[in-house]
Amino acid sequence: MAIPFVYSLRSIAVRKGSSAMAVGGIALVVVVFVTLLSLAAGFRKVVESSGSAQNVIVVRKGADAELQSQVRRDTARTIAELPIVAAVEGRKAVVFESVLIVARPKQGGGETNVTVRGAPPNARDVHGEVRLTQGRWYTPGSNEAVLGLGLARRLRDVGLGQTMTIGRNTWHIVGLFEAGGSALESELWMDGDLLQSAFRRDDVYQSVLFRAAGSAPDAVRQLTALIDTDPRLRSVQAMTEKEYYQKQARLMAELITILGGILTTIMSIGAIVGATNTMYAAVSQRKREIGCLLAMGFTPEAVWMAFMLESLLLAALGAALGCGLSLLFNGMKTGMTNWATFSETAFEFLVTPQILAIAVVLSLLMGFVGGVLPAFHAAWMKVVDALRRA
Amino acid sequence: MSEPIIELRHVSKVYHKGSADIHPLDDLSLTIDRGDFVALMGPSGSGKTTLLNLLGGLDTPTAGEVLVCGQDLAGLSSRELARWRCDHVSYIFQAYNLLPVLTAYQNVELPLTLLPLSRRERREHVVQALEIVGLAERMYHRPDELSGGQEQRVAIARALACDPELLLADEPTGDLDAHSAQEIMALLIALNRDYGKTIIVVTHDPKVARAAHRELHLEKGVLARDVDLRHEPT
Repeated sequence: MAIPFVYSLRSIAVRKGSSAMAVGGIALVVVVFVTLLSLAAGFRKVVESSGSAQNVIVVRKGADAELQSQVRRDTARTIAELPIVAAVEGRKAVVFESVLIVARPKQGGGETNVTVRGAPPNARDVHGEVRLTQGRWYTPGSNEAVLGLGLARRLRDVGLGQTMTIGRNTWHIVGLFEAGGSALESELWMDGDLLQSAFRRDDVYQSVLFRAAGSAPDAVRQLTALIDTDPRLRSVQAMTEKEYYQKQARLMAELITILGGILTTIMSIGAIVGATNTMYAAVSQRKREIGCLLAMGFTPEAVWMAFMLESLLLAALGAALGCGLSLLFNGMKTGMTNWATFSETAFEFLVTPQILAIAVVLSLLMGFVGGVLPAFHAAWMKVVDALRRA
Repeated sequence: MSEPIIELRHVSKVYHKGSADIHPLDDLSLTIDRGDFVALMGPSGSGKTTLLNLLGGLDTPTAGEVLVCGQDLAGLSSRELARWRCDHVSYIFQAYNLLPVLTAYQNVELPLTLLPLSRRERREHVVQALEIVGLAERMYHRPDELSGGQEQRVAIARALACDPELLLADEPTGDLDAHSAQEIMALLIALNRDYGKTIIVVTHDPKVARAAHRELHLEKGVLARDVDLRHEPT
């Protein structure tokens, strides 16, 4: 028969100081763990939500991001003529895009890399999620640009009506746009031809993006088959736009998760030592109580359970506190460099139920590991020794 | 003819401390009858507490046989011993050993949770035990809200709750003032007289010993004196 739950519960309340230390230690680990995982989740959500399921992107073979890619003008034109490219209002839904990164001061100090995208006037035929929220679109052929909302929040002294000097040219920001919370919101857009000439990138683009006439995966299959046979296309590779962003998200999210895992492991060891210490102190202070319970007829297993329960309760309290504190970060706007594109990506911390569930399991595991030895020590104490007065 | 509740046959206990052997009990044989009230006396280190621990199945003898309530304790595993203790024996400690986080009611209820009783039956036993010790009105108080004498009365109620045949008390008045000690002894006498409980009290106090029917005097692990106090002039 088990020792009543109330015994374990009240024993925690009685030892407020040491219980608070153990709970605090576990809560700290939970905060770090949840924060890092919510950072990865927020980043993954933004990048994975980027791109359209109907689009296909073509980049240089082996390139993981547009920045590492080069697609020659004649290659781009060959692709644009293919029947797998859909038509919108009588024109082909295909854009040749140039991308470069520039360093700009960000809010709160330091610099960050900004993705500058040179897009043709029909860019929104393909980037359907892009919508103007303030101002107007840039006029083709003029030194005008539009800024993504996520980037507008992160950069210093850059906003609607202001200017931005890139290279030898000064660009007027005439509009702000949103893109459904995707990575495009962390970009500065301007006229593609102008960007090409300003940076002497004639004849080379970074990517070709087109809307598939049928399904995007089918278009990728057909184009890949062509790439294998047509010498004009052999330097490029095709993938769905979704796949392109998912690959980027995976790289970064995995990196954060691994770093988070290492940090959490190290901190967990500290929290386990703290919990073990608290529980050993509890056992040592309550030796005679334990002796009395055993003398009364409670089995060593029942005593073990009571102390394990106490340790798990401490862990559950730590989990609740840690999760509660972590939820304060949920939705907080932040940004960091996407290592796939080497440029700033704005996103929000995303505390998901799955992350909280993992954090609770982690805490209970810490409680279990921390409590197991002291509980054994309590349960298999010799009754006569336990009852002896100090 | 009285029926024995305890039989010890050539019981010895040896502890090893460093390279030395300590013999708290040395070839001890004795019988205690059901319903008896026995005072166990002797100087410190004479083996009183060791004997009490053997009788309660908290410790095992190095040699000899210990039969309590018809059971040879030598053959029982620790789990069986726990079950046996719960059914037959209760302890009263010098330091009361109440669980400080539980109320008087919950402390008394604790051993009852080991028995197959309903909540209502448990409540009846707890209230009855607390009424016997005169503390029913303080059942929802925690130990730190009670005096030493009251704590020991709660500890006695806890010992009574399971209705054990044998009560083992290790210096139950040792931590109490004279008045409280007198109350506790009166209670133990009443439990023996009115409820027929067999009581064995370890004590240094001759006044406590005088309340008993029989005084066993241990010295260096052997029975030095066995006095039947019922036939002694007071």
